[in-house]
Amino acid sequence: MFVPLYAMRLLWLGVLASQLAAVVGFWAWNHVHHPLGNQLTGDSTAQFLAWGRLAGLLAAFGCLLQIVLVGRTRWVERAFGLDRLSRLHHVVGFGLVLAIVAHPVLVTAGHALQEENSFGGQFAAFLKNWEDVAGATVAVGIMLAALVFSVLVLRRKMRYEWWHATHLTFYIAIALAFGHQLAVGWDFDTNLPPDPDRGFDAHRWFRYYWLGLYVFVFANLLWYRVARPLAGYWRHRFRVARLVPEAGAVTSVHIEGRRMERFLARGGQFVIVRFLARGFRWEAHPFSLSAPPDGRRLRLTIKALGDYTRKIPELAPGTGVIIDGPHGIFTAGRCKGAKALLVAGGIGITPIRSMAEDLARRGTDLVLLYANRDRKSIVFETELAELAAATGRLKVIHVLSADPDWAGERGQIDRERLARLVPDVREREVFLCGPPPMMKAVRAALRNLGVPRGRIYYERFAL
Amino acid sequence: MKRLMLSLSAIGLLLVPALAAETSTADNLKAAHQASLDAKARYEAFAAKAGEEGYKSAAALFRAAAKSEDIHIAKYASVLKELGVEAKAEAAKPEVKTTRENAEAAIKDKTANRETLLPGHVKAAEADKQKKAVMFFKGAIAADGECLKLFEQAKGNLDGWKAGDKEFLVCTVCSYVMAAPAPGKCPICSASNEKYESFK
Repeated sequence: MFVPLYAMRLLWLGVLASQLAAVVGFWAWNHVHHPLGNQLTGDSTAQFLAWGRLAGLLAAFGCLLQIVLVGRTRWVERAFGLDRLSRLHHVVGFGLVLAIVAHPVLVTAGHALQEENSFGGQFAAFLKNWEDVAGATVAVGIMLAALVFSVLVLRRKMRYEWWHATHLTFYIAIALAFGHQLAVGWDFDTNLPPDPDRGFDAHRWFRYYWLGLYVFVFANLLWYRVARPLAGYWRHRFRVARLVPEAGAVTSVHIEGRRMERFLARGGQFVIVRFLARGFRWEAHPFSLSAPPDGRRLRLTIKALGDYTRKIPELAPGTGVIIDGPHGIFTAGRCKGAKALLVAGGIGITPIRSMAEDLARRGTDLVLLYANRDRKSIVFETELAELAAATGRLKVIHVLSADPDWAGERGQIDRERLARLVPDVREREVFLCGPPPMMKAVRAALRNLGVPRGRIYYERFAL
Repeated sequence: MKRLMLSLSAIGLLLVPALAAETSTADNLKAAHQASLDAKARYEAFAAKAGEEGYKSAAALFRAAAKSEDIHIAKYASVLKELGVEAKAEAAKPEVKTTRENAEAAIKDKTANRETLLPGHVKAAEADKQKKAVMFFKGAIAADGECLKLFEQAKGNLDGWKAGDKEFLVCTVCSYVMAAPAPGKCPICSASNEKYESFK
């Protein structure tokens, strides 16, 4: 069934907003109908405790949201694309710090006031007397460390592999915090005396709801991140068929398997692969399909950019591959018009290459602007020329920034060049993939030429 | 002059409910303070009687109830002090009968407090925007509710309450009374169990 992207996004945002409203609603109900009176309008002790509890609930809710965002949950991913979800994950992560820090500070301050204790003395009393507070303190430490490491990895001061290993400890933190929530969370406390004025036992229902929320999120996580890729491997038995060196430090990995005609993907999508070989099996990385699946094999084209990708040419044919995907909404399926402009930079050609074939075979009038440093960096030069000749729907224009021998377009893909090479650019939908600075510049140039924002589709490399 | 007098009378009439409301919470606090003073003395005497009659667990419950009333007394006195009202500190002499009759009297006492007296005080205090008074009256309703339940259990099986095997805990922060084993933190005010006082 075809569901428009905006409808999927609205549905997802509606689900998220309703869950957030449920959490805040339960919290508000509990505190308005508190046995000691409305705590939201109460004295400073009541205020500290009430808002501290809300911070705790939001911190836990935010952690669950984080899992959904990076859990490769299909119904969310199809609405936004993993690259956008990944960026949202970064933003929510930094926002979470506020709630994670506010919760212990406010709750400790509230109890210190109520029990006429110092802040430090009160916190020590929590550690000594309250079940699971020590565990929750460790959880806060892990969460804050994970955020610090994320900053370090973003600034390239920490190895990705180390960061990834430390980031996985977040699950331990979530488990510790979950125990704390159920053990001492007042909003889930079912020991409150029954009170006919409260109408219904909101604490009990909130507890059930909360448990349901965790079950739902972790069931999705296990299904989409673990069970589904394993089931796919079981069904298809993916294997590396051969490695083909391409231009520069680029290698194409051809993957074959059983019942490949049932592996359905669109041009432009990517898969997250885990090669089952020594030195590879502990890491899974996303790579674009550089050719639309033909029912027999998949092709990934990978540039040696880091420690992991530099080892790709060492893969032996026959190596097993666990494939998670396909993922991504940067596909030929989004092109609704009869004309499209494809813009690729460097290894950003991989999704564009498979998209070009998909679209050209559909009869779309295509122009491909492909930016590289020099001629020897051009990946798929022959293949693209052959595709253009075979379909008659594709015009390929190479733009090289630093090749004095190149007789064609030299320089960057800027406004002037776009206007000159693609005079009907306003009539085209634009698909863009390349290094972030290039994408930013091309998007600005396209907007300047009057291409509406909604007709420019792009995907960032890194997740 | 006549018109001026009429206007002043009208203003006076308008002010009466406001003043009445203001004095209402103070009066209610004084009444509640006195009731808690009397109740504390009564439960202490009931505890002594239960001890004499060999109802050790019932004696423990009466002592816990007296402690709970003691906390109410302090709370009401603190609000009265803030309002500039002096609270009386003398309790009426309690009437002590058999432990069964004493338990019945305690049930009657707690039922009246919980169902009539204190809810009325809460409403008046809410109208007066006396947040602390509202909180303390509500705390007393919660504590009395649980205490009432325990008194009813005692009355229902008084012979079973002879053995001193029962323990009662009073949260010294909010006055809530619980039978052991009690939760790790007070279900009403969330104070940790180090704030509980044990009676057995």
